[in-house]
Amino acid sequence: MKNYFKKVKYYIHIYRMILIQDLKTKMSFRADFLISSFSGIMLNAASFISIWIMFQNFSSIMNWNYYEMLFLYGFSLLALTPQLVFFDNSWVLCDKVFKGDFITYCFRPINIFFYYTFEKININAIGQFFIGVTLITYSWIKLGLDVNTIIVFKLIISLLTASLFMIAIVIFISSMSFWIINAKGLMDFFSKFKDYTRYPFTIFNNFFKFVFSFIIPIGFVAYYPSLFFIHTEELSWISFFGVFYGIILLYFSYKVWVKGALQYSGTGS
Amino acid sequence: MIIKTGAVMIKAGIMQSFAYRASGFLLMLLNNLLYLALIYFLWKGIFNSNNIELLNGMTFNQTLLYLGLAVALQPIVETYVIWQMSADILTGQISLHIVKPISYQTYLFFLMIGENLITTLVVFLPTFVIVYFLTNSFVVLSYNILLFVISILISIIINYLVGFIVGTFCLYVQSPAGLDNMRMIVVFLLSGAIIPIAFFPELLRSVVMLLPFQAIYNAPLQFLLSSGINLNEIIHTFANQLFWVIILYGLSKIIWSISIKKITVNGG
Amino acid sequence: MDKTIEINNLSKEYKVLNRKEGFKGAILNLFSKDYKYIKAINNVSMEIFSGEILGILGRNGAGKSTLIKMMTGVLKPSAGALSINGNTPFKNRKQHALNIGIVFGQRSQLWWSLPCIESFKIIKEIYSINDDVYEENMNFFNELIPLNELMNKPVRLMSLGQRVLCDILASFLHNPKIVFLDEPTIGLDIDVKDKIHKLILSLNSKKKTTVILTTHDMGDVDAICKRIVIIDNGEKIYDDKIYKLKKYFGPNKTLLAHINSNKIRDDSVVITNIKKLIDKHIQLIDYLSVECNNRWIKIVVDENQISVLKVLNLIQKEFDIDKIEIKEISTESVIKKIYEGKCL
Repeated sequence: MKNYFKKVKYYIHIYRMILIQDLKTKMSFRADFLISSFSGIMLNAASFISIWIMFQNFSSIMNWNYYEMLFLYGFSLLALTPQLVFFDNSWVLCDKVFKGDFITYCFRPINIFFYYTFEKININAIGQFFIGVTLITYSWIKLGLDVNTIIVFKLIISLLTASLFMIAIVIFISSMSFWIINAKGLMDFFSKFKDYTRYPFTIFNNFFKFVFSFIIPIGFVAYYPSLFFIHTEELSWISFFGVFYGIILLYFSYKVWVKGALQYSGTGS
Repeated sequence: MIIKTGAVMIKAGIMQSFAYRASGFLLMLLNNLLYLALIYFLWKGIFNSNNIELLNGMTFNQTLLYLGLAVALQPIVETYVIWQMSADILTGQISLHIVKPISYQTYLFFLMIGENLITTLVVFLPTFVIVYFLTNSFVVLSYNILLFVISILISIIINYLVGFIVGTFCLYVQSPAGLDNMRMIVVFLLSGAIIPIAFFPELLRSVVMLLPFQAIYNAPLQFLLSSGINLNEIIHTFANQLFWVIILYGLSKIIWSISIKKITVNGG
Repeated sequence: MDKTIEINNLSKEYKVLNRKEGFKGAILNLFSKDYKYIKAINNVSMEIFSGEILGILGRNGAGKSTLIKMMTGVLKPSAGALSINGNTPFKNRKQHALNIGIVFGQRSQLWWSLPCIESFKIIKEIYSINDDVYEENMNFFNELIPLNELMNKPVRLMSLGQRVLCDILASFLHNPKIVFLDEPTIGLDIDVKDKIHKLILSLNSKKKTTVILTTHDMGDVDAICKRIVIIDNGEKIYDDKIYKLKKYFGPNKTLLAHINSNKIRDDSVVITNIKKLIDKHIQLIDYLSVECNNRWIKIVVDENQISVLKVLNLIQKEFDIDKIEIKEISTESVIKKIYEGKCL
């Protein structure tokens, strides 16, 4: 047990160290940092404006009103933030594997997944976190929902479990780089799905509902966990299932990643 | 000699992109189809749950056609010129291009055309066919297809010029991702590719119609939405598109000539 | 001497898919069960002693990398035994990694946009290096090469040579028992190669580190290794002292130099001029072979008599040289000669 804590302390220490260096680097390219921060904010502003424009023309989508849609959007922004901030390096795994640079990550006395994945932090994506908090608070007030410790606790737990899904998807898809050549296309393909998370899933027919729940489980990023708070009449066992499903998927995709990494280091140049 | 080498290189680039992206095209198509499903269900939900036939003068089929084709058009109209420019700037290749007899702008344009030709065949056409059947053969296949095609060719030029102007700013950054994202957000939102411009509130719509971005997606799509477009509207749309080609071309030349000074001063 | 590494009948087999070309092939590949087996390493045995510098020589794709990967613990052997300081590397990769250092000539393990010193600090933490050990090593490194100008430079702004020097220092930072150098001098010019050879020799003699160098450059092994192993097609074809190998390749090197002037039209004039020059400044050597083609001068130099650099200095006084290249005798021809030698 004591050994285990020592190990955790070691990894936290290393992460802090690498993180500070990465931030210093980012700050030294000031124009890049400002532009990518600003483009992140713009992206969210544009999405917000499109929801606003839509609701200039009608009052609800499948009985979800403007504020409920904003809640859903805010929830999805928050649940997607951890993946965006902490797992940024996963997006370039395919390049590193393709060019053979990945091998340099295999010789350190440290977990390869940890060492590779947490080498970079996408700190400018943190803006999305604040936009998400603002949207949830704003819609929460407008919808007149209760505020108490239990609900806030429930919100935090459901956000944390919801955030695991996108992380698991990205880890799993990026690990495909170890087996196939054009994993980049696959990554682009799956990155688009985060835009699908901000709609009430009642719009879909059963086939797509099934696909987006279990095959590409983006329904758990915002829609299903949101039902704990709004539109509770749509709540079903699936939302509860999501709490555990995320952990299972994350564990599974981590295992696949590690298996791929070990296999790759064997065959790559 | 140099032009010939350039042509060979362009061809090689196309071949390479095709070989490498064979599976990429399939994913692109699949991506389009899934997005098509999303907008189908979303807008069907909107029309049905609000019990409306007509939204700001557009029917469900028109909305689906508009947004579906906007997606289908993306692989044709979209440009990677910013990434290419950034790579050329970072590697110093750009100083080689400046001395070539074919202008850098033209060179990049043909490079893009070559790539997009393939995507037109393998991504646009299948998506178009599916949109066609999904909207119950709503599109009238007559001379308006010709107008649509011509309009798209102009759209490509406009979008390319916008990309080139934004790409010039790669001189100041290490990675073009942020700049390209900003461009895409502005172009998609203000061109109607995300929400039809017809749905914009009055004031916003009149402002958007004064900007060049509507000439990229909104303009060509108008030709397919209704069969009974009169001559005045046709002339107006093309005049508007050509106006923006001229303005943006002039602007890109000015900005480029300023940037070139920076490149030659820094030595690339 | 202690044995550090013991390798007994080691083999590694890869299962490789018979890939089909094109788009249709790409889809077929997904379902194909059409594998072939490649023996990357076939029944290799050797012992490596602590503190020695061993050169592993071989053509590209001969199996050098596979052998190194097994020794570093990232690859599991298919058959045979491999023990390093009594441990089996792949069974505990992380533990094993603390005892080894690795340098790739083509790929830096330093953080690309960080100043070198910051990379060193991260490495210090990853390997949990004591402050004392770190200080001591840095002081020692500073004696070998002036670190001041290097350490504050971001790696991405370094020349290839500087980068490799830093990578080598970084690999010695945690006092590893064994350091693997994979093609450390690839793409470098002659004086940087020389610097790197000297650095490796000094580090080895001070730290008593076992150094295992893989290369296809005869110059590298010639400069720093006493013993070399040659791997070809996954098999060990030579394992002995370097001087015994010399009979296969001799002391000759080829100097290629390009004259930067359009005025010189006649190659034969250049040849006569150079011959005159050599006769004048270096007596006795009348048997240097001199050729000239399109302003490329080619001189074969016997290094037992005179160094290539001296010859270069000489012709540089007379001609405006803009490009040079010094060619060792190629590994391929040595390997060929070994096979021929076996036949005899």
